[in-house]
Amino acid sequence: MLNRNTSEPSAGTPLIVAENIEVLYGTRKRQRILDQVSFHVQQGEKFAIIGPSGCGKTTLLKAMAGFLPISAGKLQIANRAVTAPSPNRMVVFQDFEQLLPWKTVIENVVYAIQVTRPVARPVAVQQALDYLNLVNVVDASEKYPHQLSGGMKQRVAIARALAVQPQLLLLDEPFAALDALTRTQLQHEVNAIWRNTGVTIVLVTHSIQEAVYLGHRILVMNAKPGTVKAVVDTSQANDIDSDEFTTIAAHLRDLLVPSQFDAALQSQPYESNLQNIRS
Amino acid sequence: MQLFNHNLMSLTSKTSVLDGLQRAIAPLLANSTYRRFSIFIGLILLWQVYVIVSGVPALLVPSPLQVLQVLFQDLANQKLIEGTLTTLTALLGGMAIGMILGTALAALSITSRWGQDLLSVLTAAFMPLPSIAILPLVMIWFGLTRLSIVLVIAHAATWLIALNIDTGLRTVNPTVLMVGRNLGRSGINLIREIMLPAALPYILTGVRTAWAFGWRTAIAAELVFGVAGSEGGLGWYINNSRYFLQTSSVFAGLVVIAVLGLAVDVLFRLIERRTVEKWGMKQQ
Repeated sequence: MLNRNTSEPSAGTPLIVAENIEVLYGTRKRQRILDQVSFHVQQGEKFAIIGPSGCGKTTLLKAMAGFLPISAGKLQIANRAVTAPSPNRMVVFQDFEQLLPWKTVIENVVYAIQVTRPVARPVAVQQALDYLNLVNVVDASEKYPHQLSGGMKQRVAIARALAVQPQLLLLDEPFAALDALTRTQLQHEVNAIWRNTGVTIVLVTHSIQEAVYLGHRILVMNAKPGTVKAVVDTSQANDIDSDEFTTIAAHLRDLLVPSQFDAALQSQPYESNLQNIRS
Repeated sequence: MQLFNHNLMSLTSKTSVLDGLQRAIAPLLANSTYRRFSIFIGLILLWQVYVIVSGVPALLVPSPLQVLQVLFQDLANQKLIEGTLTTLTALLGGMAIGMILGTALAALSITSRWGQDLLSVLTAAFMPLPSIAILPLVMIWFGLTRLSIVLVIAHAATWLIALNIDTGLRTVNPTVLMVGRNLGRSGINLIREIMLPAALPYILTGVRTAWAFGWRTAIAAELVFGVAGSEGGLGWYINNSRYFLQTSSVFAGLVVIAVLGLAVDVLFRLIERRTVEKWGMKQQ
């Protein structure tokens, strides 16, 4: 039922094709939020976007979700230009209040299922329970959102997004407001979800550790305007205790902190992992 | 400790009857409803004692018992029931108009900038006007009919309901709206399934406040109107009783108004408890 696909990222047509995206924002004085942003994301990949605050990473995610129109460039997902939000690209927000407070946990998920595909209610309920089980909140299915902790709310939000069976899961700093322990737990679960469903994940985060742990590749962004600084391959650094993980994390830190950037370039041991799309 | 317990035991055995009574009442007094009820009963008793002791004429201050007697008598001979039904009918009519107009104005307001400006101009102009102040004008236009009363009540309700629904729809959490759009909902579906439930706390507050204002306006309008009108409601009943110096009946009318106001308040609180409170959406 949960569409299982544990295969490695395929090398076929990319699921997401972004070429020279530009986003202008503001009504009077139009500000350039994103400039010349290009990247590809393969089907089944976990792709992290990281950058300083104000670099437009959330804007980029909202553009992929279809909430914000791009002003120039090309943004295609599953071979189609993104023009509006779609249940094929489900977003999990940072905001804990993203569940419908007047519906119980299970009804939140059932609603999402029933408005996106024609299934009978008993089937929808069973499927909702399966997805709640996947994120370990099935015990809370009869509760109302306000009775849940922040971590539980985010789990339900993930279950609701997955229940729609999207091709792409867009995570907008979903764990940023959680305590460290819950955050770590949920990071493990995202990896487990990915192994179970094979869904393509794009994750926006400001945590280097989270990006390295969850992402196969990391898009590092510059701020004002948001541009691509580098795309770093981290697929080899899965074990949080490995030397590789520590080195890549340190390297990313150097990329993100400008003063140390030059020094890092001179002695960079991981040049092979670094593909500068645009310098 | 043991000694203390022993002393206590012997003490209670002596005054076991009083103690038993106290023990029976204590949990009741811990409950705020019972406490309030006993205060209420106490005040009524005070009133009865005052009337007996002071010997004030019943023409000025009737005793609670006399009021109760008239209350039952006028309930039995339909006078009070007819009056109440007349008032409630006007109130429901006015509220219905207020809700339709208010919802329409709020809908205009959130869909267009002109609509938003229309609502703010209308509320700025009409909100400060006590509804009873427009009764003379309405009477010139529509005569001494029940319609005039209904329209005055509608005036009291419309702006409050429009403003509250407008605020409610405007303050829906943008994230929740994005979730709805992400699920492919738009237009009327988005409004029905996401925006209206999310705005429910404001909608309930609007209807509740409008009802309270409408209720006051209805009685006030009937008091003014009843002097001339024939088929008056509760307000007319009170005014008419005053005319014939039936002070007990005046009191009985006031009691009915208070009890109905309380009942509606309880009804709204019940609705809130079953919806917005249960969902953790209640505004502070």
